[in-house]
This record gives sequence, structure tokens and C-alpha cells, in this order.
Amino acid sequence: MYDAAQSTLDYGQSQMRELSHQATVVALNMAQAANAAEQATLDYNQRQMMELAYQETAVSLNMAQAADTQQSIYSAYILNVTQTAQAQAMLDVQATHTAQANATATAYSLTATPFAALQAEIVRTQNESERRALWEEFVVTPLKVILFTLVVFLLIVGGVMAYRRLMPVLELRLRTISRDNDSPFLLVDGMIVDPDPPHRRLTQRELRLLKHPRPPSDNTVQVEIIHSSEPSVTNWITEAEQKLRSDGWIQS
Amino acid sequence: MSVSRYLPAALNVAQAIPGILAQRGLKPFISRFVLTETQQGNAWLFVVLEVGPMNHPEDYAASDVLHYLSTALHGLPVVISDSYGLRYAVLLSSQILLKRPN
Repeated sequence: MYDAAQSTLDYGQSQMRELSHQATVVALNMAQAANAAEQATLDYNQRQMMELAYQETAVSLNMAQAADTQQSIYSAYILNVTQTAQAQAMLDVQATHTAQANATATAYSLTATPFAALQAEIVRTQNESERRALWEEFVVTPLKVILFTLVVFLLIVGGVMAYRRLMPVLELRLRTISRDNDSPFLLVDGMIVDPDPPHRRLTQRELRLLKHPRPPSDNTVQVEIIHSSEPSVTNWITEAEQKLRSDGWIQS
Repeated sequence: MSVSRYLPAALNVAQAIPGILAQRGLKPFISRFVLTETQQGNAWLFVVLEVGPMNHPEDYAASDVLHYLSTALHGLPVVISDSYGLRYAVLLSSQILLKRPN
């Protein structure tokens, strides 16, 4: 009977260790499930954690019952031993009580710790999810918009600068292709210069002639003919006739 | 009858006026010449001036200048009109009898 209780205790302790190990594994799986946002796995692991806790509680109760059985055996045995043996037995009972207390405490801790760890893990997962959502909403998304706008702006500016830089060259190329003669163009300070224009160059004498100012000739004077019904001219005529009369040109 | 019959006379006057002004020490700030004829048969040549305030426009409107112009143009009547701009008005032909003012 005593041996059976002892074996029950040993088996219970080993089962407790195994359950604790399984709880740890399940907690790790839960963390992985939470990170991967696999809610189904999380639910399954939560249920598994609750099952393990229930099993741990049952084992601890079995262990406590085994300890009580041992205590009863010791009590019956004490009746048949000497005083010394009785004292020794009492010490053993005390040790048994201590072991029982330790087993109970261990069972309690194993029972309570996974629940607390589970709740803490759930809270931690929720907090982490909320933190990620906030970070995504207020930091990552605006940052993406800003970066996209910046990239578009830089592309536009780069395109404009490239157009301004390369357009003279492109124009030069097009003109070179469309020209009749084969003389090259020169690009000076962003302007296209043709060293051999298609028209005849003026000689120095002709340039000197052009530089001389021409005196006003008879042909430079132009007289406009405007009908008297034109409003502005009508006013001019009226005023001129008044002046003519006031100056005494018209005989009375 | 067309006003163009007065065009040769208008051209002569137009060619002469800058030199006449220059003889009086005035720069010929002339922008245009306008020839027109009224229904009464008066042919006018308007010499439109563009004289800035810094060029003493009153010198162009002085009576002695007008008299000098008229004399140089063989007695043609020359008046000045200064509303909405400065211009000489030279009467090339008139159906009414004119006399030279004293």
C-alpha cells in the first residue's frame, strides 16, 4: 500500500514535469501563432493550455491523496514500534507532510502559473497587436505616402532637368539631320551656333554700308488718309476749326 | 472726289515740317501724319506730336512758332490743338475765305 502510494507520488511528479514541459511548448506555439496572426492556432493552444491545467490539477489532487494514504500507513505503523521508532516515524510523517506541502505547492504553482502565463501571453499579444496597428496607422502609412510623394516629385524634377539639359542636344541632332549641308553645329552656352549658315555671308564692305545710318529720304514720310467721320479725327477737326476761328483766320 | 488729291501737298508739308521745327530749335517728335477732308471740303493735315513733359511742349505751342510754320508753308493756316495729345493742324484747302491774322 505504501509502495503504491510512493509510486503514485513518483509518477505524479514525473507527470507534472512532463505537463510543465508541454505547457511551455504550447506557450511557445501560442507566441508563434500570435506573431503569425493565426487565431485558430491561438484558440487551439488556449484550449490545450486549459486542458493541461486541468490535468495538472487532477494529478496534484492524486498526489495529495497518495500523501494522505502514506500518512495513514505511518499512523498504523507507529502503533507497533518503539518510542524511538515512533519518534522517527513522526519525523517521517513530518517529512511526508513537508513533501506533501511541497507537492501541493508545486501542483498549485503548476496549476496557477500556466493560467497566469496564458493570460499574460494573451494580454501581451493583444498589446503587441494594438501597438502594431497604431504604428501601422500613424507612422508607416503616412511615411509611405510621404515617400511616394517625394519619389514622384523627384522624378518630375529630374525629368524637367533632363529635358532642359538634353533638349538643346536633341534639337541639334534634329537640325543636323534635316540640314542640306554637312557642316556641323556648335553648342555654345546652351545655344546652337551655325558656323556655316545657309545664307550668304555679308562682306565687310556690305557690313560697313549697313552700319551707316541712312538719312531720311522722301519715301520715309507716310501720310495716313483717314475719313473725317472717324471719331478721333472728328474731334480733331472740331478743335482745329475752333482754333482757326479763335486765332482770327476766318473772316467774319 | 477723293481726298487723295491732296496727298502730294500733304507729303510736301510733311517733309518740310521737321526741318522747319529744327530751324526753331525744336526736335521733331512727330509720330504720324493724318490727312482728312471734311464734308465742307476742308482738307486738314494733322501732324501728331509726341512731346514729353521734359521736352517743354509749351515751346511747340507758342504763337511765334505757329506763325513761323505758317510762313514757311507759304501762308497755310497752322493751328495747335492740345486736347488728348499735341498736334499741329495744317489747313491745306478751304472753301471759305481766310485771312492771315495780324
